[in-house]
Amino acid sequence: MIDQPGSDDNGVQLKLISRKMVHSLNNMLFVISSYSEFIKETHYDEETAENLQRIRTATDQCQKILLDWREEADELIPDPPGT
Amino acid sequence: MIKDRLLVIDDELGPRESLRFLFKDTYDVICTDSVDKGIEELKKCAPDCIITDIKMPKKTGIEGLKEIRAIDKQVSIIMLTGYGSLETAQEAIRHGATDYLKKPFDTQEIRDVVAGYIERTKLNRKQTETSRHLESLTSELQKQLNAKEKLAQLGEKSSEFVHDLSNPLSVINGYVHILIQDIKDKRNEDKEINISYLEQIGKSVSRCQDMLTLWRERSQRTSSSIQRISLGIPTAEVAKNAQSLSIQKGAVVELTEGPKECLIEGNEVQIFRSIQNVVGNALEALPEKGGRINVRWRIDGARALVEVEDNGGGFPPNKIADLQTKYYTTKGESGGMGLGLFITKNILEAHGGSLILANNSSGTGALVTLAFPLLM
Repeated sequence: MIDQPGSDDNGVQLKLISRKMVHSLNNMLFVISSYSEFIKETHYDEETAENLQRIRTATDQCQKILLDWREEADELIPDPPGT
Repeated sequence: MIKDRLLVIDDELGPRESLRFLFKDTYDVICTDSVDKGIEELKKCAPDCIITDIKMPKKTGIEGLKEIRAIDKQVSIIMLTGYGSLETAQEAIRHGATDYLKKPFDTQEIRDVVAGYIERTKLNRKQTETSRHLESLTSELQKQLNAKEKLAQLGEKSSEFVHDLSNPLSVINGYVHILIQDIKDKRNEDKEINISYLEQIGKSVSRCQDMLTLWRERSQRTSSSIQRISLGIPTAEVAKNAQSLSIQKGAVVELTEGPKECLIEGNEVQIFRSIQNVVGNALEALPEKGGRINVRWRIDGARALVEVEDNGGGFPPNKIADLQTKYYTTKGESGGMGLGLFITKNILEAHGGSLILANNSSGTGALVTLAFPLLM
């Protein structure tokens, strides 16, 4: 009864997948930020700059959410030894 | 057959040997002439009963009693006293003796007493062992409950995380569309390249959103909890949400209520999502004018059904099988990864149900049925 694969394993597995996802999402956000910068370099008008800034702000917000999520997941499910 | 063990501690040879003689055929008898030697034997052989004299040189039986109890709380200890004073007997009982007998002892009486206490020791040990086992099971159960609790918390946090992240992603998407339009309207030699950059941003956002969809599906599957659900509740909720969205498209979403006692068993969030996916697809398929969706639930034999019927043109008959496979999409470049129906199908199958894609009888659109096993 007690030797079944525990929920702990599920939690750890879930957290490791989450970590990979966070990594990939961060990469995507980096891509978004970079392209925004490229556009800013060639479009000088105020309106475009403002819209790009809003994209930048939203991207920063995403990164902050990712960071918070990672901390929360770490707090709830500690890393298994050797990871 | 292994005999039960009796340890005798008495400095006097006479009583010691008579006890050996009395019990040697029934038990494995170990005799020692001092408390210290008796303690050594106790550690070595874990006897089922100890008979010890009270008055002995060096250490008395009472002192020995304390040491024995520190080592073995279960073993029955019978004190032998030549004095028979009530005070000594009380002191012995206070320090953990099981009983006391007066010297000289009656052989039948001591036989009966020892037999009874040996059984008592065995019972005590069994009880202690069972308690320990029970404690370890309780602690393991507690551990598992804690882990489940943590997992449930993780699932909850994960939902918040997906929700929180989806908002800024929608914002990015919105501004990307504005910027594309804006840049198209402006004169700039780098116009084309900037539009392609924005398209890249749009694709990245779309990938992030798809990744979140996959994550949500995964995390909910892992931390899911099964409960009894009245199918009408999530169906009505999805229809209500769709009604507000349909206003923007000038379309109508009708809800045809079914029986209240249409019960199924499953994960509420996942069931909600599966209905939402189907209704979301129906909304996307609606024509620009005169769009109409009917959402209903009903019982069909042993199945509880949610039916979503639209007038959005229906499925290409030769593509119905492909639509339930991963990454197949009819929405083209601008659309998603084709996960919606695949995820819905998986959710239904995980609940012992099925997803049925068909065109409606009037030939104006699709009729998607989510079939769940009815809880009788």
